[in-house]
Amino acid sequence: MLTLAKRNLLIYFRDKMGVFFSLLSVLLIIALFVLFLSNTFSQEYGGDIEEVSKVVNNWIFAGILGVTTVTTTKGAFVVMVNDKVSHIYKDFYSTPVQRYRIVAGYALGAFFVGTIMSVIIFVVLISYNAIIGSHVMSVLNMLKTIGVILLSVLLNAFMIFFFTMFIKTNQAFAAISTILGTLIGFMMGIYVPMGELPGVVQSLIRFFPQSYTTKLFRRLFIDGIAEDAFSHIPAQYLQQFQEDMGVIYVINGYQLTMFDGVLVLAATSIIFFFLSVWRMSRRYV
Amino acid sequence: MEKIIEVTSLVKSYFVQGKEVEAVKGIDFYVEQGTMFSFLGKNGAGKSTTIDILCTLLKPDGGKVVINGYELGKNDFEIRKSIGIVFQRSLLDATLTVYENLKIRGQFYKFSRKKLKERMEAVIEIAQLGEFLHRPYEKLSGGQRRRADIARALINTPKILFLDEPTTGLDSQTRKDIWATIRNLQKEKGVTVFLTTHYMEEAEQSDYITIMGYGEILAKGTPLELKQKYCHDLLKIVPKSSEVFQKKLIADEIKFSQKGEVIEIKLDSTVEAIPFVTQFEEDIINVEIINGTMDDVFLDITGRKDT
Repeated sequence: MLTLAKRNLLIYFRDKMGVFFSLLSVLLIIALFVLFLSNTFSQEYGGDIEEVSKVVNNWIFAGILGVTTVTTTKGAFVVMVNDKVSHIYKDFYSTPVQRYRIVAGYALGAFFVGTIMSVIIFVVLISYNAIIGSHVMSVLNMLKTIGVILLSVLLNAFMIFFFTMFIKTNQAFAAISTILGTLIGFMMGIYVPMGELPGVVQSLIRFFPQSYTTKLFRRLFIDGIAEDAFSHIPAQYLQQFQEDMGVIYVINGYQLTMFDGVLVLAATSIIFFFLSVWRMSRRYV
Repeated sequence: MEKIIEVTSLVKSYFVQGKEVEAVKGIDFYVEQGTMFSFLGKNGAGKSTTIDILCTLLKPDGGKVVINGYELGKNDFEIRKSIGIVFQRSLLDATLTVYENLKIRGQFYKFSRKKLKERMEAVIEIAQLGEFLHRPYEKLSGGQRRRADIARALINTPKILFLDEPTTGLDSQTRKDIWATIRNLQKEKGVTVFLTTHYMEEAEQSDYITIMGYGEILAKGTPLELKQKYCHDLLKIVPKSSEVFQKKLIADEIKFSQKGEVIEIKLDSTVEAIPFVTQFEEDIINVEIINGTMDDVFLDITGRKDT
């Protein structure tokens, strides 16, 4: 299992252009947000412009990091689909290693790739904040963020692994990648503040486990600065703002804590882990 | 000699668009230890299906297979430890170097670090990978790739080496080199070689040949036996006068066929031609004896059902 995971890492990172472009695509989104959208958002919320723009920037960064945990993990599954299409799996199956261990190696490899790539993007975001003299989160929050990255990538690895097991061609994988790439930002609620979406869509997003990743990242990214930005206006506005922006979820009057978010991620990871095991036990004995 | 592979009434069917297709219809054969065994058949004959089953990659629907003393379906892990496979289409990682490929695939056999290193050194030597060991697989020539594939297949010191068309698509010099390596493995190391090929001159060099077609075994035997049974030498004669000569042949009750000026007579062996030519010496302008080849055997056996 570890052998195959290591091999997948080696293949993934050997394609230097591929790695570069997948990082570049995230960096481009960051640049676009910082240069254009950040201003529009900030003006909408007014207040102390500088403080608000810090909040908005970090709000966006959190969303981008959330999406990154999905797209980079997904990218690592290219190796799995390729192996299936070019029948390389036959060579692995002809060795005395249980098949489920071989297949599980793909999930493990994707977990490593997703973690490495997401941490790189996280470091870029923190560095950017440090360089422009914006708010830099505390060390404790950084560690918490890395914890959330690990958890989120774990969920993504199991979830995407489960669906990739049904895919038989490169074309199908490419098509699903495109659809996922297009929808994921929306499903994780990163483009538009939650409050501006219709109720049904809000519920849909809340139902999507990965949106809890964004929510947790947002909490950690704007921890300490949101209070500053709203210091001279009544506290309920902050509450409303956080709710509208999808920083906190309130369901039937109950405000979900960070721990609840972690639970959602962990629980769905476990669900998809078992779904994957079930699928593997049917096909890869 | 000991039978290292024994196949009894092996059956396998597929469902293609809802229709059941019998790819293997209850075949029996065995392979003796340390021999070179050629498995022939036209495309779609059921060869690949059979090989996939023997290599534990495909579950049979029925029948019994024993490989190296282990029964297929019960002791697959032991079987996998005792076989090496050179697949028709190479299955090494294109962007990784030959060395990386060998190391990674070797790790699947759970050797100790020391053992793996020993094995790698051994296969690098056998397949002569020295000069391109650290080059990415995709940058290699066809012959070099085949060498790397063979090295990969030998990493676990297999008792049986399966080769699915190992020389297809290679130039004739490279083909000879690869063939020499395979031959050497069988002769020197005592590896049982199970191969499929489209080149009859290669099949001819093996110890035993089994020809498959339409999911059944059509013929089996040593190359010599098959040739004796299925092909004839051909005596081609250009007579001075076709008419006179034909009359003489008919008078002697000799079967012949006419192709233009040439009269063709089937012979059971080449030497039969000598008394014949002496007898008709005065009627003949030109004589040619064509030896029967494995190609004829193959075409004769596999082509029969088509016509």
